[in-house]
Amino acid sequence: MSFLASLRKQDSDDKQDQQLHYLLTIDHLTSEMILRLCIASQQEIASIANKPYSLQREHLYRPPSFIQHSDKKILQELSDSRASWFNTDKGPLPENNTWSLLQEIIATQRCYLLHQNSVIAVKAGEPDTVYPYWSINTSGEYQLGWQLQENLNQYKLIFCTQKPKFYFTANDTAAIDSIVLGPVVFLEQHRQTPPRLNISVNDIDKYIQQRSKNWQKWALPRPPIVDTVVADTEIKPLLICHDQGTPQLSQKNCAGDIQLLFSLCSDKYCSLPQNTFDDCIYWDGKTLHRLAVDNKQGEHLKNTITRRLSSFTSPNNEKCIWYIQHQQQWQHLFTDLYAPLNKLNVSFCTEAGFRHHYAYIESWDVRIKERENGDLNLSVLLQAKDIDIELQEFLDQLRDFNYRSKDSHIYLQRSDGRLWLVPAGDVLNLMEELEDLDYSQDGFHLPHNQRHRLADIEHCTPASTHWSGDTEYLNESIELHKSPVVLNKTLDFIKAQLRPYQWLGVCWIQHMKQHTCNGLLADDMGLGKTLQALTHLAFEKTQGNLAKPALIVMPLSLLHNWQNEIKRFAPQLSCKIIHGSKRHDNWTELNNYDVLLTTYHLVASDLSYWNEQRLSWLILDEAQSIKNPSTRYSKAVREIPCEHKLCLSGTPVENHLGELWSIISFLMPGYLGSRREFRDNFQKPIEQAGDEKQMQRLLKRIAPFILRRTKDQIAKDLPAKTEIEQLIPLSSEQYNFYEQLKHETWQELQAKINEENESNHSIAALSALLKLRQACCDPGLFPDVDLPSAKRQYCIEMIEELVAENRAVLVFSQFTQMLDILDTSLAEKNISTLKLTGKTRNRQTMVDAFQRGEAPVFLISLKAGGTGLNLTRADTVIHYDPWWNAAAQQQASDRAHRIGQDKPVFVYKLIAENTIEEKIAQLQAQKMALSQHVDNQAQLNAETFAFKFEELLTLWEEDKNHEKN
Amino acid sequence: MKKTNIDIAQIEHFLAQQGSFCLIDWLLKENYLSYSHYEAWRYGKEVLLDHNLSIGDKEINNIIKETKNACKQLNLSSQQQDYYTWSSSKNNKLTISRQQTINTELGMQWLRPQDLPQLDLFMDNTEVITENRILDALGGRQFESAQKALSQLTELNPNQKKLGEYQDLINYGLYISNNPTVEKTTLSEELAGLENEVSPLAHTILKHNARDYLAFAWRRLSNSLENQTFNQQQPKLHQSYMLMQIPDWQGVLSSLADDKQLFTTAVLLHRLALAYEATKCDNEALLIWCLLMEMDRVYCERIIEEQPTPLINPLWQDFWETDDEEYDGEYLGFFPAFIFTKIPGLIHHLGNFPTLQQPATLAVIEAIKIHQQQGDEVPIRKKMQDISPALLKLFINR
Repeated sequence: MSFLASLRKQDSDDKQDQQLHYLLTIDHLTSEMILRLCIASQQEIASIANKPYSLQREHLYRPPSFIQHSDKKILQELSDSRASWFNTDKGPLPENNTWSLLQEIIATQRCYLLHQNSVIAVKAGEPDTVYPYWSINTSGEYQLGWQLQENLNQYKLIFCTQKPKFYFTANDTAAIDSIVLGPVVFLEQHRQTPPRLNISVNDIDKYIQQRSKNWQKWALPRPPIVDTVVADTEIKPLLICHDQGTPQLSQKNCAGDIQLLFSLCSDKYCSLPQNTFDDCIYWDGKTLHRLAVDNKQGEHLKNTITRRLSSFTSPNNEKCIWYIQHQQQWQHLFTDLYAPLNKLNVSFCTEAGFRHHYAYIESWDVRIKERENGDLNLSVLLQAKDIDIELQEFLDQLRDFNYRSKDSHIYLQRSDGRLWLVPAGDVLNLMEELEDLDYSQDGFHLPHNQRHRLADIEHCTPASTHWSGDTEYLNESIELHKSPVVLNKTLDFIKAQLRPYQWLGVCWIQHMKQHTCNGLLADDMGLGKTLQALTHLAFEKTQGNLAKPALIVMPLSLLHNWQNEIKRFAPQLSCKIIHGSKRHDNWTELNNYDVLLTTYHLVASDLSYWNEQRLSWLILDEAQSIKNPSTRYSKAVREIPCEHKLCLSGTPVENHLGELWSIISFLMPGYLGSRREFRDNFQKPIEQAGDEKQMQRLLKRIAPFILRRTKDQIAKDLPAKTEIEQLIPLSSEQYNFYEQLKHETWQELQAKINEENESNHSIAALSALLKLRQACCDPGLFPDVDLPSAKRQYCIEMIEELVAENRAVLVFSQFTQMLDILDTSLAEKNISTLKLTGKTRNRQTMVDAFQRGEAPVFLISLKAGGTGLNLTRADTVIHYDPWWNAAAQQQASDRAHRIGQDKPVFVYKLIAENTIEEKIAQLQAQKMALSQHVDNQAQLNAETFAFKFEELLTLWEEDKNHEKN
Repeated sequence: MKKTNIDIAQIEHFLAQQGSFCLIDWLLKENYLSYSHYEAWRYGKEVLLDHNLSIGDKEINNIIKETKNACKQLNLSSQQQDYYTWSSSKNNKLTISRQQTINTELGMQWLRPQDLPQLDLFMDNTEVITENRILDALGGRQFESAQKALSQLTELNPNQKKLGEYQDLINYGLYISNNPTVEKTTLSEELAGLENEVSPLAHTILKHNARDYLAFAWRRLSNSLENQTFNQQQPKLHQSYMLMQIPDWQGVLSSLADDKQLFTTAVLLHRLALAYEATKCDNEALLIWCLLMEMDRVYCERIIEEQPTPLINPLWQDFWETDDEEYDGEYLGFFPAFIFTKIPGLIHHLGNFPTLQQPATLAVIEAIKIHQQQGDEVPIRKKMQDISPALLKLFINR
């Protein structure tokens, strides 16, 4: 013994707190005894089952304190018997040497039996004697059995020494008993288990008589005498189905066979199936019952059934056996023949593992149950032959069909071998719809924020499906999916003539609100999303629903546009811009306003303020700004508490579907699942695998919450030409540059006015103004100036959006250099262009190229584009800078909007806010008012439409005044 | 004494061996701090540790600086390590030095960033913490605490594979605590148990904690061998051997000094050479190697080959570089002479030890002395030539 081992031995003599215990359990299916190893202290014996110990190889070499010397030997024997004992806490006792090992285990005095959750200490008992007795089995046969002594009040684990078989009966104590079987049970067969005598009632007397000489020596009791009665009997035909073919009838390529047998049944008993109609005996514990039928009646029934089965090949009709040649015959038997055979009272019997039990699904039932957390459980029950089965049982099989089965029916196989035939279209459609939902035995879990999917789910079930439970949610979802109700168009609250599609948009927002949903208005650019949102807010005010203000969040460039639109179309809505360093002053007065306007950047900075502010509506304009859910302001808008939400965006998806998820998750949190779920369920299949079906599913799912009209879709509702003046605020850098320039040019102009003769004044003024206009367009037009241009940025973003809408765009500017800059910027965005300037010689070639659709954008300079071009392919015109001559500008616009144009045309005028451009535009408007009375050609030439020096000076002065203000 | 310095290689060696570097461990290894002083400090018998350092504050500050630079170059991270008394009753925090820098830096533990302890949901579980408590308790000789922690670990996870190993170490710790003296009759058995079973197990399980765990055991055996003279039949049953294992080199020197058989026993001389080398007394160590070579050439050759030391091995390698194949087996005996040719200053330490006897060695010593006195070297060179031309060549080519 090693030095440490000797120390260990000394140590093991001490009483250890934690000890190894042996827990015996009986597997009631196999009667096998299972040994479990547990570690527990004496106080924990009652719960040792919860303290398993897995045998460690290392512990045999260096035993921990809880493994005593005696344990080590036992554990060594266990591991020697089966290497798999390592790292496990339970297993059967070894087959060899079982009894001696068990004795060793019991000798540790740490052996227990687990019975009905009770832990019972096991002790070794003395060998015992057994006593023989007679019994009658249910077939009315005498049998000889043995038992332990009578009045046994201790149930025992009985270990038969000659055959390692365990029997167990339980009580409050237990013991291992080694049975030495007395000679009495060795009667004839010399076996330690009871002999299988099975002596018929009729034969018992004869049996005893034949053995009378030894009967006394054996000390056997006499069998009891019993009475016999004749019972009312009927024939029960049984069709026994074997799916491998019985050995004696096996035939090559045989999928199985069926065999017709009959049972004789009374009200209490059925005989074993047989192919004759002979009498049978049944013992009920007191009396013997005789079951008997008329043979002719039986034969008639047999012939009738046999005729029904004539489509199957039979090797021998006498034996009532038929071959099943292929799978379809099983299906035929269980579907087409099932009802007629059932009428003949035939029962189908299948062996364990039989896997061809086909049945058509007869009905569908979907049960909706609201859970405590508001989620819904959808239990989809398929019913066949009075059996309900839950669809989720078959999810794995359905996935194997890959949702693309071409067969009319697919079969779902249950664990018991039954095959349910289900219409493929119905079930696969439904499964696709439910694919992303979690499920349990309660059914599919529809999160509460996805309740509106119920209508889609209903759409995927057969029309005859019965819906039950909390069906109000289904009804609500169906209502949401319906078109919005068109409200009476009493538009005295909005100072605009709304197009029908615009009013429909307003009604749709109301529809969303009515169903406590939030939506995304995604009309094409220029279709009036702002106007629709404003009309909606004005309508809300008339309904008294704007007690709390509505907050509209937008990019900075749109702040004043919104303010102007509100003033213009709904002046009754009081409005406040939340912007600038003093925006927090008088914050408490915000409730006095109907509409609050702020920017994405500020909403994030002011989040703590907005969290305290009660809001009726939260509207996001250019909602694609929150396309990245991780940005600060994307997170901020999600946190702002409000009653309703609305998003406006012409391009909700610019790069990938994740952007759509971001917007929808703002509007309807959780509706498309988590970001990861959306990525797995939709984004990857659609973007990476081009899964068109999944794309359709996504569109269908979000359809109720998105209203999108393209210009093409509502062309008939649109005017031939829509003019939109777009004010663009300059960035502070660009504005400072502009102001500096204005100051300098004013000084120069003043000097020239004082010095030069009057005829040159006008030219000097125009020259000075030219510089300011260039500064508005792009500081890059000046040499050595490298400043960003707000207008260029806006224009490029706008063109990107228009190109995405598949528009054909004409961009006019008076500055060819500006067109070059735009050309470069668009090329960086991979947008191809054509360019027409005064220098272009092959004008017609360029025009033809544009008309053929070779580029979506045509950049045209004022002088080049003014006359003689026919550009009917274009449906959008952008005037990058306001022209002096409004009539010329008008004519340029008409390059697109002229006879032959079959599309509505949108004309955008980009004007730098609070600059000379704004003044020019105002002056133009005044002149245009006159133009309506003047002939077109006259307009182009007439002096009326040219700017005079006084007018130019006025422009300066107004601009100066504006500066002071 | 050599100049004290520390380099990256030494730190890397510690990192490879025990996963971390600490200056106290280095000082112990390099014998700038004797284990007995360290032990006394850990038992609370010494208030401060730095009083017992064999180097001055200036040097220690220099070492601290070098350590910091080297650890920085290795991108190591540091964490302050507290030391507590080895007391079964109460664990008091120990002070290394009254000087703030030394107090902080000597106890600083340097680790690779990935080895820094961090709050980890998976690793910082009760089981791991309990296991660490066992390791600390064993290293700190708190065997009853270790036993309690082991019981807890057993409750937490009876399937832990190391339970038996921990138990063996605890059993042994408790055993030696309860039996501080060893009967003479069982000394051999105890030594075998410690050397063959306990020590390998402790090194495997306790890693760097093994030093403090095993020192306790070796000290116990050493104490039981006090005043016991060397027995050729049982060369390990001598205090010097036990103290070498700790290693307590000062103790080894003392124990050997007391043994009259020291200069007549090769094994003891070898231990003495090692002890001198460990305590930075290189000249003394080399003279002992010379004595050893004179005493038992074969034994000396074997141990230098088998257990080369940083001091003797370079000289040994250089010596064999001078070997011409025509030289016979006697050439090995010129190694002491070669040592003197390489380190002539050794002649000034000769008086401390028994006289060297070998004519070759003596001739070289004499030649060195004549050379230093600028005397006539011809006679002595002739003498060397007479002994062996190879010897003269050694001297000339020194």
